[in-house]
Amino acid sequence: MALLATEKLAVRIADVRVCNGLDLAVDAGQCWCVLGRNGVGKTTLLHTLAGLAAPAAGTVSMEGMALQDAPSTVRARHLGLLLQDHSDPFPATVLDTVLIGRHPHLGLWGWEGPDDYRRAREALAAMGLAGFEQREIHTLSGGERRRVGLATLLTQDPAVYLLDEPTNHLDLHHQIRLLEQLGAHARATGKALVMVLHDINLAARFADRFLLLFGDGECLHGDAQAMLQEGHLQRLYRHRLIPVSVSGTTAWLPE
Amino acid sequence: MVNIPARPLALLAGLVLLAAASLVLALHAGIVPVDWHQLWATLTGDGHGLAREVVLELRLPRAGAAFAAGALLAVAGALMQVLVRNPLADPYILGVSGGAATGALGAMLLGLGGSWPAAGAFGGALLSTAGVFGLARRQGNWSPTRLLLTGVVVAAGWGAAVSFMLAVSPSQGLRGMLFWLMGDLSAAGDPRPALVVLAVGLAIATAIARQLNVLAHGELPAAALGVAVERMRITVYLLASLLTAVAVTLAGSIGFVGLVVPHILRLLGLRDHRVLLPGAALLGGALLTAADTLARTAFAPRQLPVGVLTALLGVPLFLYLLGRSRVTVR
Repeated sequence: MALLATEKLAVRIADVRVCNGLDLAVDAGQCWCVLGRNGVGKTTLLHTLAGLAAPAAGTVSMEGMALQDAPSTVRARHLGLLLQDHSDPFPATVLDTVLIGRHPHLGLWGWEGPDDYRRAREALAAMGLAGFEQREIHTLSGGERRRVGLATLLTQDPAVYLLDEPTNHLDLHHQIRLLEQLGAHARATGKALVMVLHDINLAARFADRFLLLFGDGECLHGDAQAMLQEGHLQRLYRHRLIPVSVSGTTAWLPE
Repeated sequence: MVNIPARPLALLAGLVLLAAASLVLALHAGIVPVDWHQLWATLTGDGHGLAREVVLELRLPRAGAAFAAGALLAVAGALMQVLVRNPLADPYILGVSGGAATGALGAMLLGLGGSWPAAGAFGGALLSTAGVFGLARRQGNWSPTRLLLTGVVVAAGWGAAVSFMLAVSPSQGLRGMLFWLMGDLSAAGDPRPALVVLAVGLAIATAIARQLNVLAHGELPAAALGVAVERMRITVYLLASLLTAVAVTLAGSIGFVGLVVPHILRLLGLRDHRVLLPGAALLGGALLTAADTLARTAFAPRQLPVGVLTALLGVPLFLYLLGRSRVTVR
């Protein structure tokens, strides 16, 4: 059964129709990428998939269970969301921030135990932040703060990672490293990724499924061969992209 | 398995000692001399005479009222700061104390004595709480900013009503009104109901404390981590308002404690609300009890309104901690 599925899903933001009648099935090990111009509703779609916004019509389900029927902690153990940005009005250490990822796994009076601390430290190490545990969160750079957000998500350990522009603020090295790591993690542990990316070349390199949102309610989805075509991309971005073959792979250059 | 890190636990233990010390000092100090032997005898049940009467009939209820009011305000302040996601929030920011002041001063203006000002304060606080809640939620969308704006504007309205009453009040009533506005414990009634509210409120607050930890990082991240954000915000709003209403009814609008105690604890390293909230109760109670003891004794037999002393004690303490802290506070 699909880790995350939609049935006849319609999502709207005011007058913008994000998608209509969308039937999607996200399976274990898959890496999906949502592509579209600014304002077509990629973030809203992601929030709907995470159960944080109600769809205009249709249903979202995880392993066959409709999201609206799932208790919120059950949902949060299954679906994890990385938001586009972070804000921290109160002082906190990096370790404490990452540990909140364990919240859905603990009972009402539960305290984080050794296993939770171990997961948090491993997640920090995986994001290249070993040794940052006691740093204050607001002393971090934008890229470091981003990786703390990703480490929080790894600590949450959901089955489906919904990632809103995960490469925001990251330098080139960390962008590549992050997407490689997440992809390997998903394939090795049977998780799935659904991410919003703006860099078509990063998307082409790491994703194996694509969802194109055209902004008029119409959307297409499928594998790289079917989706990454000149015509689709020109319509998607209202800008011509030229495929260039570089040492055996195709790169897309904006005209 | 309960696995509370050692440092917060040590800090909490220190705060328990501090609170106990402030209470003992409050029972000891005053115009009528009560030496330590007499105090011990009274507390263990075989005291007698004037010392016993002064300690049990006068100082104990007053110390209890001071502790309860300080603890209630500090816990309410910590809750409000998470609710509006603003470290500058205090228990009064959403107009609870303004409503209470209008009720209390209105009763005084009408010449009603006895428990009427307290009843007016409690009624006004509840009215303001319900009003802000209703107005902020009317369109179904009550973001922290909308709640904050509604509360601040309603508070400004109450402020105008208070100014009006001060302006039209006959001059012999002004002193009582000003003392109420600064916060004064000399007229505080039986503290036991407030202590019960404190115990129940603190239990509820501690039960939802881990969700508050998550909520402090934002509503969307909290919702994504499985916090029922809407229900949690209603709970926090009503709880913080009730705690504030009870404190203000008991002791008038004492400033500063609710704003600064949570920050003092954060500077000391207590950020986890599961320990921050009990810590706030202890430190808020201790601070106000100490301030009130000073208010009674510093210019005896003249008594100062305790609100004057809370800031006098709290400002240097806070600035010292802020200066000492390696943490940059934004």
